[in-house]
Amino acid sequence: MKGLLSGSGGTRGGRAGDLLELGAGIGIVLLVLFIGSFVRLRADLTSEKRYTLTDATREMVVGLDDVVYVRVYLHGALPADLRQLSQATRDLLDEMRVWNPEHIQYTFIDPSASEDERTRNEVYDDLQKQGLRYSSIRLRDKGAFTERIVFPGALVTYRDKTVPVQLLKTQLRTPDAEIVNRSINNLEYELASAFRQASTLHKPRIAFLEGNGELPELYVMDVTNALKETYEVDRVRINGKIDALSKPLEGGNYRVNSYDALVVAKPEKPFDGRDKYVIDQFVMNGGKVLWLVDGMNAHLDSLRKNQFSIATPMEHGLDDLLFAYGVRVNKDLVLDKSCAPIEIWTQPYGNQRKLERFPWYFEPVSIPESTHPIVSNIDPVHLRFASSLDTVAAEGIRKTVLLTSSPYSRIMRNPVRVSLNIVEMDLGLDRNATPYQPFAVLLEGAFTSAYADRLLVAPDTLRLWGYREQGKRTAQLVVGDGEVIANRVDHEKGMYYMLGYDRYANAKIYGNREFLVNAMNYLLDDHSLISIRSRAITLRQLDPERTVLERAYLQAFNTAAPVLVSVLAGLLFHYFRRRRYSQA
Amino acid sequence: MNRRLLLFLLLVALGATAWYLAGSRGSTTLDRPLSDFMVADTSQVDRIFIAEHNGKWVDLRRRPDGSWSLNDIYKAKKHEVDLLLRTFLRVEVKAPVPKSAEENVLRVMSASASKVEIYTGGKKPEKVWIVGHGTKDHFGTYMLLEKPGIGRSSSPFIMGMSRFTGVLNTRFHADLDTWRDTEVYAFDDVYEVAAVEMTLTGEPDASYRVEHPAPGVVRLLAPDGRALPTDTLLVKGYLLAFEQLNYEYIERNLDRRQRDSLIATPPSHVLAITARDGGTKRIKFWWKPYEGDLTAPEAVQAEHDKVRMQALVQDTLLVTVQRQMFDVVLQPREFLLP
Repeated sequence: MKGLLSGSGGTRGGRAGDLLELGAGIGIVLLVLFIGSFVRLRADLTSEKRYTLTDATREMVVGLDDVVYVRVYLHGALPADLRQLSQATRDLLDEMRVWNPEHIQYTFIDPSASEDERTRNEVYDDLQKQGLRYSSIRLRDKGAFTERIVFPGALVTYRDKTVPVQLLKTQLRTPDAEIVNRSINNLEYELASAFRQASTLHKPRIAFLEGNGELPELYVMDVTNALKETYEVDRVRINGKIDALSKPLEGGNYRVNSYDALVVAKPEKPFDGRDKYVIDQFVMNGGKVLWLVDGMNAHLDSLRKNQFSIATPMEHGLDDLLFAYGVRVNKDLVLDKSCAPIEIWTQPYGNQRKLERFPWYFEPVSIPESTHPIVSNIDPVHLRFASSLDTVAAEGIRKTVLLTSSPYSRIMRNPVRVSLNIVEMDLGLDRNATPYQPFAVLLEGAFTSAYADRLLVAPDTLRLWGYREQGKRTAQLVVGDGEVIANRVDHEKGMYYMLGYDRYANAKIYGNREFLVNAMNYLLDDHSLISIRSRAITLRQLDPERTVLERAYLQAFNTAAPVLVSVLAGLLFHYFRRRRYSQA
Repeated sequence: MNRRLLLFLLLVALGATAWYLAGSRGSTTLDRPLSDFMVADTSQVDRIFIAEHNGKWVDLRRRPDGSWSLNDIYKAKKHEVDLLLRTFLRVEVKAPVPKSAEENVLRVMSASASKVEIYTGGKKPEKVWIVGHGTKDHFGTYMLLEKPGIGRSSSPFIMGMSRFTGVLNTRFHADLDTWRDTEVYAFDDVYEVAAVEMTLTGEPDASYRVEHPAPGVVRLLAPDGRALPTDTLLVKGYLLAFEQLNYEYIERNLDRRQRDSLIATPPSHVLAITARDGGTKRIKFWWKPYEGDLTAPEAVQAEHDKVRMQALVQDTLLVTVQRQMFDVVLQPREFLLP
């Protein structure tokens, strides 16, 4: 040994020494790499800063005043994709711990750790009870497939409250890389949202209005569930009751709202005057309202029987309220070249009926161009038979247009003939257009009651009612389409589709849900969640067109280039070495 | 210094660092040694010592035959000990105690917590649990962990068990009567019962003796030794009831005077069971007075308590037994005749 450690040269012992030196060198490199994996040293070089916490998350994490304990159930034997998700979760939690190490604690738990099947099943039951969903995945083990239950989720506990978080957003048996990648991109939002839910003592209350032909619960189920993650969601019918949305405050002059926000989703029946007064006073008392109202009464269903139908103004009776608040829903329909497709049976081809896809101008797809947090970085918003909006003078009210039609759009004024034949017509939208028609307007400020100077009621009675003429500072959002919130429902299967789902693409491609949830977050002053959700992370894929056209070249380049570079480097090294030693 | 020696030393140093880091990397950010409450192999647990804050304690020790002794005197209830062992195995941290509540929790624990020492063969406990009170929502229990040689965690944890809803602290008590095995008699095999003598006080015609001289051979005798007609199936069925019978609780509700008075009273039944090894266990039974609705008509009032009786086991232990279990072995002779 002594010889090996001290000797060198060309003898047998020297050769063994050299080998030992080589082995030690390799060992040192491996150990340095291993030790390096423990060192938290990160530089985020991605353009969208995907590995850096957003300011909102950082602020929330720093502001935690007590321990948030996260139990992550992504541990144990997992397929590679889920291991990646598990590691990403750990990295994110470690990143959060950099900012608040004392108040963020986590444990990774393998729910299938027990060898006893009964105990395992009990653990699974328990996790399901706590709100986590499992995925049954197929694992390849020695050539055979085995089923394994995994719970790709976590439980976040803050003080007495535990919130479940589903980290993998799929129920597929074999989650593909893209779904896992999307889940990883979404991790920060999911965890931050759970932290927020767990640490928020007061959950704002939202009411969906009903009783005036609004969309039934099943048609707004997707957005309701999305809102329920952060808020308490209820349905309310005013029915002439003054206490429906607010309660009198004992000893006070005014009333106090029972809800923080109200959603009016596609009313089709006229509002009673008393109901309107109740809504007006709800706004005056600081309530937020999301108005999703149609200007025209048009339905695609009516085209099933006839080739065309006539859209007439929708008489919901809300025009005077909205006008007083600073916006008018016009009695028109917007035709837009940027629109969703429609499939129509066309002329038979031989004895085959042909289903063809056409642009359906009555369903505009609004691509948000505003940098406002509600619409920044969200997918296009799909509207159906949308009406344009006009802003009108309202003192002290700030109006922000969030969604507009494209430059190639045109207004069709009342009455509008809605016909399927339009798909074959040249509308000349690029030549004769009324561009950028507003579809969604945000109103912010202290509103004046729509009933100001209009109520012929004695002042004492008004005081008794808690009437408020000048409102508190609040915000409202008006969209000229009621169906922007409607998810597709399949009555035969008894299921609903996620909002933004497109049946032709068979995927969620529209950003309606994000738009509405962002809007509600904004109205309820939850700005931080919007910025996390709106974070754009690009999935950098190969250009499909170039991969087809230049397939051979790209394949050859990617295969041969690294080999050539290595060979060249080897030759150069050999050349320089030879030159150096021959000179010596 | 020689280059190879330097490389060797560097390799050793890096190896040691890597070994240390690999050992310290865990799946949790909690203080690992002092949040590791679980006992993974409960078959190694051979002693559990529970001490309450009021000075009461129990000492449970595993005997070579697998049963557990209680304070080295009594036999401990097996299912109660099993429950503790299951708790040791399945306990998990639900959450660290919120900082805002920590001080208060520690204050309450200091006045009410129990200490549970878990031994796995050594003289020192492997782990010591300090079991506090339940959480407000009754879904968790505050606990602290102490490990000899490492120390005690300064922060308590909220502990729970998967698939269990409730608090765990009720399992860690030092009530001797509750830990004590309630067995009145138990035989693994009914052949171990050699003879049973049932005496109904003042009713010699209802009293009897069952002899069991060999497997499958039974005899029914009168108290004077006279052989009675024997329905073998009925008598064998009678003996089967002797496999195991337990009392409900040790009678602590009677004061000394009441107790002496009861024992001085002639019992209603006396049961003497002679085991194959020659030992005899004698149990005296007394009817419990009827404690139902005394304003009800006499026809409705029962003569005795319909549910329970009192019994004196081996002239030492006064207990209450349930009639639904004991009526089978106390039945009069006529029920055993063909």
